[in-house]
Amino acid sequence: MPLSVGSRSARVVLLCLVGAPAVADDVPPPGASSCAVCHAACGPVPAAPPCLRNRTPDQIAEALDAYRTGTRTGTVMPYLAKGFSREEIRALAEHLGQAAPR
Amino acid sequence: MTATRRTVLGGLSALAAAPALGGARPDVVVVGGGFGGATAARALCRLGLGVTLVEPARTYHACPLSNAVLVGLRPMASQVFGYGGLAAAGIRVVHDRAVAIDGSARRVRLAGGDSLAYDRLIVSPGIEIRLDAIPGYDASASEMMPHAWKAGPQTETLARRLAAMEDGGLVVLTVPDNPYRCPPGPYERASLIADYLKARKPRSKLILLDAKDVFSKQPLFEEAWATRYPQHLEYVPRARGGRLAEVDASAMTLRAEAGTFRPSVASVIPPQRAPEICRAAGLTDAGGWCPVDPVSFESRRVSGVHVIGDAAMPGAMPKSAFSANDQAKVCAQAVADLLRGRAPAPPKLVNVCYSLVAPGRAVSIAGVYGIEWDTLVAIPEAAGISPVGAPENLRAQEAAHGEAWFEAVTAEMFG
Repeated sequence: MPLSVGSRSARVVLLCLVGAPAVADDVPPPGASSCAVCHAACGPVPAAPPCLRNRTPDQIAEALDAYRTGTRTGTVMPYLAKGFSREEIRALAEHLGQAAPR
Repeated sequence: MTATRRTVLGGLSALAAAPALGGARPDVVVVGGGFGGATAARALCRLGLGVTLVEPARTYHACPLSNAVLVGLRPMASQVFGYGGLAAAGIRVVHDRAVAIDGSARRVRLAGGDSLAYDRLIVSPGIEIRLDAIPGYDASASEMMPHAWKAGPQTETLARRLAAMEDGGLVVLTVPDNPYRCPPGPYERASLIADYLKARKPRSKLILLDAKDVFSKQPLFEEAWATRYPQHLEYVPRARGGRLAEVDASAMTLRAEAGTFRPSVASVIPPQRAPEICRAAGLTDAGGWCPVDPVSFESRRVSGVHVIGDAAMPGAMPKSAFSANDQAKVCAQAVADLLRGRAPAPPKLVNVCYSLVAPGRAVSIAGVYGIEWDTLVAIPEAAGISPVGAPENLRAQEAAHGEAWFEAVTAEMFG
């Protein structure tokens, strides 16, 4: 096998495994896969929903609880937050907040 | 042993051009490179698994926002994506068509003659447009009366016909009964065409023929039609004869109980089902869709094969790109769990969908889905639509949210 192919394979394997050690045994809590898409636009997109990587778990949990109990208004979040228990919200907040670059 | 094998598989997965496909044995094969398949491949890759994606097309044409292309609000180019990002991430992308699945041998056969072995297979092939459901609506009729329900050449054909139509022309759009891809999509299309007629061809009109009486985001569309397009959009539900009975493409006529129409431009969205490969593999039920376990999305018919996206019937979730994206991530996690000998945890899934009711003005529907007994059900208090009677700035904000979602999700898949 030519050397160049071998080195390319090694590089690709590394790329494919980026993040794997963190997630392999750390299964995201129910619902987590849904949040990131809309809340991942952390660049300068003024109209996008807020970037969750900039929030602490406490801030995220507080916002979700407020949507859930109806003390905070919004577009889709007042509905979505009601689909999760307080415990599920806490787990989501820890997961999403933990994703923050420190 | 496991580590060695993973390394070898990962190494093989980089050799996209390797001719001896039969010699490779990746952990997971994904069939279909759309919102379900491309997302699943990226998620499996992030979970450290070897992934082969089988997709015949070199470029993907995204459906969400393609109704805006029909009336010149977006260029077609903004809907088109390539697979270079997936290959660069370490996914082996095979541009071929999967034609058969042997569930007992755990192999997928490709049209080019090769076959791929899998430990687990994820099938995300989208929909097949039924050309046997409406009398007269066959392949050639679908060129005369484009469905444009798979973004691509038909989107551009329909856009050209609308642009070429003279003022005073009639447009007819027909909608099938449930279930079908993108439940609110036909009504978004009707709204945007009506807006285009009102602005550019004000003596023209759209008639919307529906095979049902109740539809997604109905109060919001009806509000938009009454306030924005009272002269340019006429809705004919099933109860008033809206179900399409027959078309004659050469005469350019459509017959429903409500009457026979001879429009300048017609778009017929026919009934749909899971594609041929699903039927051939024994994945479908009598309704033509693929029943799956809602925790793992594993087929109820063929073990080791998972079905996600529009082709799957996991319960109450609508057939949307957002659903397919979320199902893909849940399924990828379940596949990784199963390959590691661990039972997948019961998931919660989300659907959010935006529809344009006018340029730069959108409404939304949102829902959370959980496991109840052996199916996915909508959690009642977590389901709803935008408020009726909301100010324009809320509609504008939701249009921006919809576009931001599209940018983010396509970057996640193809970036």
